Amino acid sequence: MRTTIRVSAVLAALLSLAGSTARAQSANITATATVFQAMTVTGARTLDFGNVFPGVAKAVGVAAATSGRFDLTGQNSAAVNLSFTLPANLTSGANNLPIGTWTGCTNTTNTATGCTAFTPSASATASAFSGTGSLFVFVGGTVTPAANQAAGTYNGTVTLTAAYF
Amino acid sequence: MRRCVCFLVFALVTAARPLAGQSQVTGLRDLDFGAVIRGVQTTVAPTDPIRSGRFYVRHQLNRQVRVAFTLPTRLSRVGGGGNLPISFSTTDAVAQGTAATSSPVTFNPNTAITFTLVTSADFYINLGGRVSPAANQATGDYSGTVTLTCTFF
Amino acid sequence: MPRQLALAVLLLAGLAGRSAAQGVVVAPHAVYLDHRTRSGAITLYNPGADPAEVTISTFYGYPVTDSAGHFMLQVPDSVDPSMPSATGWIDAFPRKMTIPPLTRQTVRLLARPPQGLLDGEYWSRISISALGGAVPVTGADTGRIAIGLTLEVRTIIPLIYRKGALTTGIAVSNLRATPRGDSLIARVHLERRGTAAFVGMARGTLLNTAGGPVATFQQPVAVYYDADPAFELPVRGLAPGSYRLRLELDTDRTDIAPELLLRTATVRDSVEVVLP
Repeated sequence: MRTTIRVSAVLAALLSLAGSTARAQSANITATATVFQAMTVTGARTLDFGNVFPGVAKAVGVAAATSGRFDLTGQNSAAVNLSFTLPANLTSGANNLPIGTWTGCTNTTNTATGCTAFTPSASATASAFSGTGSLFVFVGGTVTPAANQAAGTYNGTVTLTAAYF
Repeated sequence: MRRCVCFLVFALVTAARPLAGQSQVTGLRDLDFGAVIRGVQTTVAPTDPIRSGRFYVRHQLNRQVRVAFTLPTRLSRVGGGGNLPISFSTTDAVAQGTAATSSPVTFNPNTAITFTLVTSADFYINLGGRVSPAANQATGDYSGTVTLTCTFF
Repeated sequence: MPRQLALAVLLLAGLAGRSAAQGVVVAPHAVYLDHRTRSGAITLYNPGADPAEVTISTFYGYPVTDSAGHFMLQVPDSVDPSMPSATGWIDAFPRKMTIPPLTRQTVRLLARPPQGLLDGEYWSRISISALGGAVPVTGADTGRIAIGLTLEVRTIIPLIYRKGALTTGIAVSNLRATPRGDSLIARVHLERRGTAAFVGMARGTLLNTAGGPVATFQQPVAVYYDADPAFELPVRGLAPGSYRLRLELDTDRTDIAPELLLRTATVRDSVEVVLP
């Protein structure tokens, strides 16, 4: 009897000791990221001619609330070239809706007031980002519907190219 | 009686070293957000096989492991000059045992959790997260340390 | 009486709440590849609500300045072997892709230079073209008339490939400055030295007679050959009289990873300026 109790007591102590050997261990990894300067060109506003009537040309100037606008972001104060590919006509099957007399201006703030005028074309126009990396490009134009302009869906492609150095 | 004492002594010696050499936690893979664009929040899912952070934990079957992350709130720019905010959501950690019958367990890396190992004695923990660069975040490399502490029972 | 036909014509991008020519965010803004690894990557991000169809292409070009001192991209009509063009042996993968909204896409760049390529720097331009899709018309009388516009935005960034140990430098001459309205226009002749393009910063400070700064500018510059850039300083409100314009060119660029910058000593020059 005495031996059994002694064994049991020792065993109980042993089990208790084994149950309390909680042990902590750590390991590390590294979280990494590389932040890059990015360039963005966003079409921010539609050039909206609204209602246009046959035989009545309609122009939208760069300062109009309905002028088109592109917003660019890039490196602070960096130079950038802007060029456009613009249609001479919007087409609907065999029908053309002439568009032209494109006008443009750039500004480092989001307003056409005090902007620098240019003529959008395939030739590059030199510009530059603001000291905080912003540039706004306003675009206007004129549509010239014929007196017998046909109904239909008129299509065209407009391309803005921003080249960085 | 003498035999019983020997048995107990052996058992005691054995019990004194059950965790050494059997329980471990190892960092296997860094949490890599890669190229991050200023002003654009970038997320890595814990299930991302390349970019997620990864740890390996081994203990004993039917025993418990308490895991706790020490997570950074910012990554520091290498060479100084900026901090990149980093955060971890409640579902950004996944534990997966190595047994074929193990199912992944999604958990919150921001709080400690205890696992009981019933299907396998070892498992992996994957960690995701997100960084939120400011629009004027300084360009360059950023890093921070993620620590996983396991308490083995 | 002419037939009344209302046409609602919408062009370019940006219906309210929808950006139709959104383009994609491109990073980095300049790619540097090393001959030892011959690979790199650019990250594209579509911040818009619509998928963006993206096409990658390359061509040879380098910056020059026009008569007004503006940086322009010179694109030769043809590329001959004497030109340091990397365009013919740089591939992008993928070249065409559709990026879902709010999604990033990595484009791998792989160089396969010709055998025996000499040490030096080789240039290309990467064009990232993003198609934003057709813009539906809004406005009056849309029952019979509609306009669909295809909008495309192109971003062109430089790619520089380097082989071997390269050096760069810049020589400054003919610094002059001319008042124009509320600005002072500084012009200078820059001549690249060494074997690689000078990529750095131009910093100008206008000092009064006491040596105190009254106007400054700073502009990133990339001089591949020679250039005659114009820099503009705001001088509105400055008193008429003598000033000194100090110009510095250095290679401290915070927008480019330090390990990618070729360093050279800062170059300085100054000139006396009289404001009317």
